[in-house]
Amino acid sequence: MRSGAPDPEITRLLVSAGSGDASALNRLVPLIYDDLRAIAHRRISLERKGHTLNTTAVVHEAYVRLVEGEQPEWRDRVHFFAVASKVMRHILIDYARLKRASKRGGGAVPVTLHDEHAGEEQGVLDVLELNDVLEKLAQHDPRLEQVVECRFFGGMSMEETAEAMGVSVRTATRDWRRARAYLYDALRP
Amino acid sequence: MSEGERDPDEGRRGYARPAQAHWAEIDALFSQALDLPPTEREALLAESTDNEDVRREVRRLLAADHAAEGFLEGPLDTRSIGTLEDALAMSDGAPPEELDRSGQELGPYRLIRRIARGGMASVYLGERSDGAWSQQVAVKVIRRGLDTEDVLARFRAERQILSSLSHPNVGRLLDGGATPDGQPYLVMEHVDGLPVTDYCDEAKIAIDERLRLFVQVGEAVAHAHRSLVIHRDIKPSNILVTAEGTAKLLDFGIAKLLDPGQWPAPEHRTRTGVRLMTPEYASPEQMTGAPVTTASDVFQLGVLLFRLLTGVSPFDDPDASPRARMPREVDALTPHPSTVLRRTSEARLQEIAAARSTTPDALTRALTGELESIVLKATDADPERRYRSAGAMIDDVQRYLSGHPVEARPAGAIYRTRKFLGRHRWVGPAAALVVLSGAGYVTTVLRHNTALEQERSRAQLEARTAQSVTDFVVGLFGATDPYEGGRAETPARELLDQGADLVLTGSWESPEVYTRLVAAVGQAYSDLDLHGEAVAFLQASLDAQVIPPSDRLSLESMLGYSLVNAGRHTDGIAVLEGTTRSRAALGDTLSNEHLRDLMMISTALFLEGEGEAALRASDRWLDRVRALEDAPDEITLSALDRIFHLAMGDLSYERAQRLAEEKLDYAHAAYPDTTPVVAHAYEDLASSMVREGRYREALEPASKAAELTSAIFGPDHLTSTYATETLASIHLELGEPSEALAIQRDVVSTRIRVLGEEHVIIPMTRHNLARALRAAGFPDEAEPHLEWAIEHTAAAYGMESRLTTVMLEEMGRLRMDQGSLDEAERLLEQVGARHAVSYDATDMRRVVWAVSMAELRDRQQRTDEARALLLESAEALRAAGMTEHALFRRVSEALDRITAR
Repeated sequence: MRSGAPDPEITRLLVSAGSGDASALNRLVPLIYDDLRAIAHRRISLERKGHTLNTTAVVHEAYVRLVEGEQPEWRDRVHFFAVASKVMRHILIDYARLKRASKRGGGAVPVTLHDEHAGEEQGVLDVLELNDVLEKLAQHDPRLEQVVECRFFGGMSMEETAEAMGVSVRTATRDWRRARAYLYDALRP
Repeated sequence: MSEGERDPDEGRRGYARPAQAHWAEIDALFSQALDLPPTEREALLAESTDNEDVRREVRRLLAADHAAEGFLEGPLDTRSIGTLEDALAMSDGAPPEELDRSGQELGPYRLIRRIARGGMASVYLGERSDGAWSQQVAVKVIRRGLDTEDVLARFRAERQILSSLSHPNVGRLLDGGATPDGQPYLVMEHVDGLPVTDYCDEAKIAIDERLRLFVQVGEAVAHAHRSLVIHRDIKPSNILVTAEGTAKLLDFGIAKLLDPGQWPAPEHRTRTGVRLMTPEYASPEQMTGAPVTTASDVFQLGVLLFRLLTGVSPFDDPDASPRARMPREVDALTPHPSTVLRRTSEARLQEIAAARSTTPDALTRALTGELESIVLKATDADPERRYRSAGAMIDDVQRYLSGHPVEARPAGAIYRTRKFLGRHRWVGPAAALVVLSGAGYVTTVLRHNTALEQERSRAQLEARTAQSVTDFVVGLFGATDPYEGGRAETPARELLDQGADLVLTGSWESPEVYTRLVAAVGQAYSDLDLHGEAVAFLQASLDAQVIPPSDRLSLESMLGYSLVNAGRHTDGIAVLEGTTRSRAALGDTLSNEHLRDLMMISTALFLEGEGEAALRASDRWLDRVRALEDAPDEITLSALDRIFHLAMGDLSYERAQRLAEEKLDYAHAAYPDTTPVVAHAYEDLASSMVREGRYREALEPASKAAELTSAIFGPDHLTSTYATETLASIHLELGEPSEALAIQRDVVSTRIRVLGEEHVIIPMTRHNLARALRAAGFPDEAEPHLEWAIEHTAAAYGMESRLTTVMLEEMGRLRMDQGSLDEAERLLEQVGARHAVSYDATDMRRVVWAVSMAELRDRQQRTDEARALLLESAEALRAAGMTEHALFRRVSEALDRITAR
């Protein structure tokens, strides 16, 4: 509903994040939260029948709306995606909690995201459960949390994920496989 | 909330299970093992640790890694975890822990080691323990949950048929029985090889060679069909290729053997919901539960061929572009292999081509034409239109390999169009259809059932020619919230992507028809807010230069909107200036189209940072909209809404308020109170008044917004809590802290209950509560809330962030009220220094700070400094023309107090 203009402040923060200012990324969160929420909200409305949410599309759309006019570098773009992934996680967890709250008394029905397998009838994932497990994993190794945020909540590619984590693609891929195996093991029905 | 109290470890398997002390060791070994080929992993485990628990956990994780291929994964991964095994395991509830039977003897077989684990079965490498022969076997131990007696009875009946399958490309079923504890097992020929897809990719096997491997598989299937055996589950993981290059098709007839739906026993009838199939490869008959025939195997062979040629499965879209991924429809059209490749990312396409020892161009060429026809014929949704047998399909592949014309013919565009339309005629409440009318005109038709759908349809059709309206439509969608449940949604995106495929790949009777279809797809993408796609299609249709000028104009406008929405503002402005000129030249200066173009130009100007120019431009067209007798309400509304936001963004609050009032009038006239449009209009009016400092006036619309959002969304909804929080802040500014406090307490408890205490919004919420508490005269009660808020905000955004600074300022005022003047001074000076960096001298935040600081100086008996600060603030406010603002009153009153003493 609010049309977000490309925000020079966001670009400035992205650039300082790129030059090593870690706090800049955190300061981005409140600036992009509302727009991401609005976009996610609209896409969930549009795609409700399939219960799908294309997180890549949400994050990219936010990027186009909020940043693209400023033409930052690829690295800045990746940083934006990484922060947006984190925010997406918050937003989706909100949705799940709200849904759960709104169903109080009627039995808990988790908000679900089908994972990406077309036609998979039983592949219903409870994001709240995933979130719980992810928090546990983060205590063991924060990188596992980060890689899942990038890949799953932000729909980022492996290359983008590696860049955002500041590791090689090989390492990021290994982290992703580790995280995925732990989550799969904990969450599969 | 209850789930917050639950121990997340409870009942979980996996990483949480081993003693925490071992986690690091297990994880490190698991990481190392991941880098090794599967065959070397056992050796690593053996040499790394003596702890069998650790080894077992690592094996579990490796198995999970294997099974998790594609789990949580984007569209690039084409494999499915939703296999037979999982379906079966689901139907039996949680699968019991499966013990490793390595070393056990089953009948005449000794199990050497476990080589695979799935939800349905574990597979062991085994050998004859009685030495009758030395060949190694694969022993598949079926998971508990199938009635052993039934399995065995069925197995005995089928075995004779299955064992009659003697073919070099068929993995044979040798024997079967039950374990001492009652689990059925099957003994099969052990094939040492790789799944056919892995084999082909690793050896970079070219297309022709892949076709020859495929022929081996097809011959195995054809052989089985002659024995009246249907495989039912043909997929890469069931086809192993040995080092010698021989393909072996495994698990013949196993799917039928294990499918509870196929069983006569009544207790299994209840499980009809579970169908044993691999969705990616399942034929339409299998998906609907219709009788499965040899035609179903032909379909699966077609899918396999598709996969071998393109590297992806036809029904598992690998496209990296944002598309909705939805369960496939039963009679989904198989996409053209070349289309799928065209949509694949450059990098992925390079990879796919390299794995076939060719270039992307050559690969795309090879997959256009006859090979494509073969795949499409085999995978036709209608069994009657497929190859009549596996043998016929193999013959056609052979004909291709030997350079003879194939039997398969490209399905005509008309046939495919008919299928497309026929399929969607009954799709449901709302279906976007691309249709050709007799005159060659193209329209996007939205069909709807309910009144609400009709409302939306109307709005969407409007949206086709005015992006601004989309914002309005989104406002309307606000009512159908994801957490409100309810209405079925349009799979419009999916239909549209398929429609786009159809347009691009079909052959059409004339360039103009084709071009119009391309344009229609572009328009429809624009409807769905997919502006990148919209720009591409619209630009292509205009470039073709075959559309008559009268129709060109509206397409150009549409292109302009999409460009602006895709972030290409200056390109959009250029296009739209062209269309307004053309329309003016045609004498059209008052049509909706013309006005929309002008509106969009002003929006684009604003997005480009030309706030002044944008407002000037928007004034012009708003005047014209008002002058129109029959301007639709939603156009006027969205126009007002758009300018309202322009004005707020431009800090022209007075004007924003006038616009908000007008918007509210329109919304009232056009919609009932229970719609989000009206609620948001009240909210906007309140917020423009708050920005002007007209708190008393803002009270009424803010109360109304709070009331309406609670009624529409429910009081727990985040939207409702925003509205009530605004109301609380107004009471606070009006010097009514007890009203503010009552409301804010509710907001805090609702948000914590619904969102949890860790949510990003909670620190802000508790800060607001602290403000209300302090103002109501409870500084000590406020203190813990504020401390908590500061701690969490600083942790999240840093000590220097604006949000933290705002909270520190409040802490300064709190300390002042508590009488700790030194502490208050320290905090306020710190905050003042940061404000000086962040804001202009006339910024409200600096004025608010100066008033606080003046109060402190006054209490410190430093009256001159206090007076100087207040005079400075008053001057700044006067200079900004804000003498009507409530803040100016506060400053004046404080000055009067000091002067009076």
